[in-house]
Amino acid sequence: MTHDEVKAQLTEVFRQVFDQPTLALEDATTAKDVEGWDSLTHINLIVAAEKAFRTRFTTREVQALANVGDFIRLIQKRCG
Amino acid sequence: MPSSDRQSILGLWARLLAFSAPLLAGWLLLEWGMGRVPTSHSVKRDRLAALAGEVETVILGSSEAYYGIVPKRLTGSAFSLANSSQSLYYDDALIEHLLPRLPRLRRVIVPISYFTLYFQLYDHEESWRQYQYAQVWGLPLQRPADRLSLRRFSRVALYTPRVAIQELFHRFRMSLAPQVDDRGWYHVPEAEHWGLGPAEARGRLAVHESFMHEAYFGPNAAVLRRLLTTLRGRGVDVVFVTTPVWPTYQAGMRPELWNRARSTVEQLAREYGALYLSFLHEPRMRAEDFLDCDHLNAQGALRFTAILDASLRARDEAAARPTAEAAAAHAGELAP
Amino acid sequence: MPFVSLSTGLFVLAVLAVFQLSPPRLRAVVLLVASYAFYLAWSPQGAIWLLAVSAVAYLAALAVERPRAGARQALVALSAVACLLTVLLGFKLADALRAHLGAGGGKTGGDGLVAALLPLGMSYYVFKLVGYLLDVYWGRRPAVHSFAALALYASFFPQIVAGPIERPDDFFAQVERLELDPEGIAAGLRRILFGFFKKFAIADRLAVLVGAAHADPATHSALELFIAADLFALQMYADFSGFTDIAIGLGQLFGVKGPENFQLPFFARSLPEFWRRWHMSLTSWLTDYLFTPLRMALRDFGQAGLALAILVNMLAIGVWHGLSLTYAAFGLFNGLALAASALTLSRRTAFYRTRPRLSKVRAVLAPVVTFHLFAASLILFRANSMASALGYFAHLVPARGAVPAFRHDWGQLGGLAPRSLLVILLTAVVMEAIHWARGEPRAVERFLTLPRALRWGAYYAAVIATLALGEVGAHAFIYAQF
Repeated sequence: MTHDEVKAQLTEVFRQVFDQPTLALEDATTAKDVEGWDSLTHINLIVAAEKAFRTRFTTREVQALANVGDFIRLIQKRCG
Repeated sequence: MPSSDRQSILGLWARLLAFSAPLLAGWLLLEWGMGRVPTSHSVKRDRLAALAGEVETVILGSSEAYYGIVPKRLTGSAFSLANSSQSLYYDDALIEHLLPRLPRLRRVIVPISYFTLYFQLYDHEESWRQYQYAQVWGLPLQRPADRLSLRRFSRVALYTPRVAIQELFHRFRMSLAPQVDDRGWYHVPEAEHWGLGPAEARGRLAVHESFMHEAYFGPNAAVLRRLLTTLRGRGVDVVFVTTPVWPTYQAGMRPELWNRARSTVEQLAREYGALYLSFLHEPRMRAEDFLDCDHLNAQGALRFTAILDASLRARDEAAARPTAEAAAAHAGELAP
Repeated sequence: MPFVSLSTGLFVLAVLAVFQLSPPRLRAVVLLVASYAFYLAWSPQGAIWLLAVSAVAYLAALAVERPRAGARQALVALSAVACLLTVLLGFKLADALRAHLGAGGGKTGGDGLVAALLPLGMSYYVFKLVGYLLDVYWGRRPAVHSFAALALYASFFPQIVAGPIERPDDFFAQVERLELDPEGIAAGLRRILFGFFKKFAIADRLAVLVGAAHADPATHSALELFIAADLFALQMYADFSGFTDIAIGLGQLFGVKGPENFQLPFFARSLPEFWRRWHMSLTSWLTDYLFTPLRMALRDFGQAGLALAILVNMLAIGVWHGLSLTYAAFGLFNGLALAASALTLSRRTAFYRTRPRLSKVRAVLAPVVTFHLFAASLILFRANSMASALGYFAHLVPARGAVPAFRHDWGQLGGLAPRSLLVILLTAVVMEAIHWARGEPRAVERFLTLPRALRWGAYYAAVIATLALGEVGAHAFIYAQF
């Protein structure tokens, strides 16, 4: 999958998890930029992404993510 | 470092010094002021200096004697040098320091309580009181490490800045020892009363036992010897006194600790020709005479001092009649 | 508090002078030497533990550093973390056992302190090093190749006594460029002054009142106990944020600013939000290194997994303070409240979205409710035993014929007159105002551009208030007379 394809699908996931239909993502987006994205809801996001992309992340991989861009690259790596 | 950096850092230090200057001045003002505020020690020092030529009896000891023995009710001119948590070390140090200035001294009362032989002021909750002896009387501190403390030199540090500032607001005229009379007796405020039941007694005993240690027994006994040697050498009578405690307190005293203290004191008394009067259990004292299980209140102090005085006068009269009758009375009174 | 003393003050001044006179490359060394000197002065045996733990973390991090990956790295990381945490747990357990068996046998010093077995600051530096090791293992940062640098991170004396728990990235970034900054030093001094003010003029005074209520709840009315519980929350806030300010301020003197620990927590509108604003360096540490990994591991268990992760996390916060039933209960209380809040969040949000007026009421009441929830949990934190805590809660329920609701004589409540209480509350308001203002850059700028006379006047007022209201240099009294 290309970077933009992943981004588009991931945006859908974000919109659903945080109940914000108009949310837009950038590569540099972090938890600070999205309302409702905190430690309690973070894993909801990971779980939803795992479902959407039909994959499974390790704790080590998730902890290394610094922003949305890293997440997209991780998904790309997983999905080929 | 670049000179502009250095200048700004030096500028900062200069401003810091300028800022601190008024604070330092304020501190010095407080130090000066606190020097004028009476404390129990300064009151005793000053009043004793005025009466030095006439004092015949000096009372030492800790709070039991400080509250419980009234110098004015003793026959002859008496003065109390007792103070809260005063240890044997300071009893002895005070006497050594003052003896040359007490030409008429003929008797010293040395109170012995449950804890007297087992504690040192430097290992006690109220160890800060050591510095009062250093500041007011110039007596040396027992441990070298303590001599480096700010509280040895600074009254503000010793009495806390808060008290010093409060005193400032009272123009340094509020005495820190309003209850102390001009013979050194602490007059317990009428309203204070702390309960005499078993629970309260256990509480008091727990406080005392928390600073009692076997290790201090030897050094304290040595101090007693030194005190006895000095005083008996000058022909001054020594009277060991145990002030009254309430039965609930007495019941909780650990026998092995008290018996060791008591027998040591009795033995020293025999050795040095001193007297030991124990009023530990004194039936003539009633509940309303006590502040708490081991301290008398003002009313109790008056009553007790009368009893003590009667014993001492009987002693003096007997000594003036050196007969077998006097010797028998002497032996009988030694039993606690 | 033994660290507030003339000797510590002189020590800091001496280190500052040497630091400023040293060439830039040696400044970090000065800090390292100072930190170990400070530590040795307090606890020579403890210094060995500090050094040993630092060494373990140092070697383990080098072994697991990326790009190395694999089962061996996982094993090394896991064992090292387990080792460090076991050491910490071991000491905490030993102290808990001693307390339980009544450590009356310990020799008391002249000021009545019984030495704890737990070495100074171990709770903090072990967490720092475990966090560092996990960051390296997870690839978030490279390992530190200089042992001296890592040793400094663990032992940094402004943060060793009671935190804050600074993250390695922040710390090393600052240590790499240690500059002499007069503005920073002045800011640090202001911060230290403010910390002392909070600790002495507010916290220590409140401690008297709160102590009286907890010592004997039965002799106090329900209203008094309620107020005392609120005051304890205020006391904890003033005390700990005061201490944090002193720690951060001290670091600023040397150009190393630690992380904030508090962000106006009493304005939080929910308990989860509260815990993101209270003792932040600890809670964020636990979130990153305990909660998130645990949550990841339990993510297949849905809501139950979330609840469990929250409970474990809050329990950890509780027992981090000490291994006792009351601390654990404190953690559990908060855990249950947090779990309930987290599990019902979406439903509550939906409920309030369609009721704007109710939302406004909620906005006003929410901080009040949150504050009192936290204050209730603190009853457990403060109590001397579970029995005493339960007694406190029982007496919070007003009973007929019990102690009158409001006595005019506050003598029972630690002897503080109503006027004194008013003064404390006023100073607390001033404290919160300053907390708010220092987060607003414009307010800070306004203050710093005031004429020097006014600024210095404010500082003098703070010094005098601290000395006049606080128990600076206080000593124990058996009978209160001089």
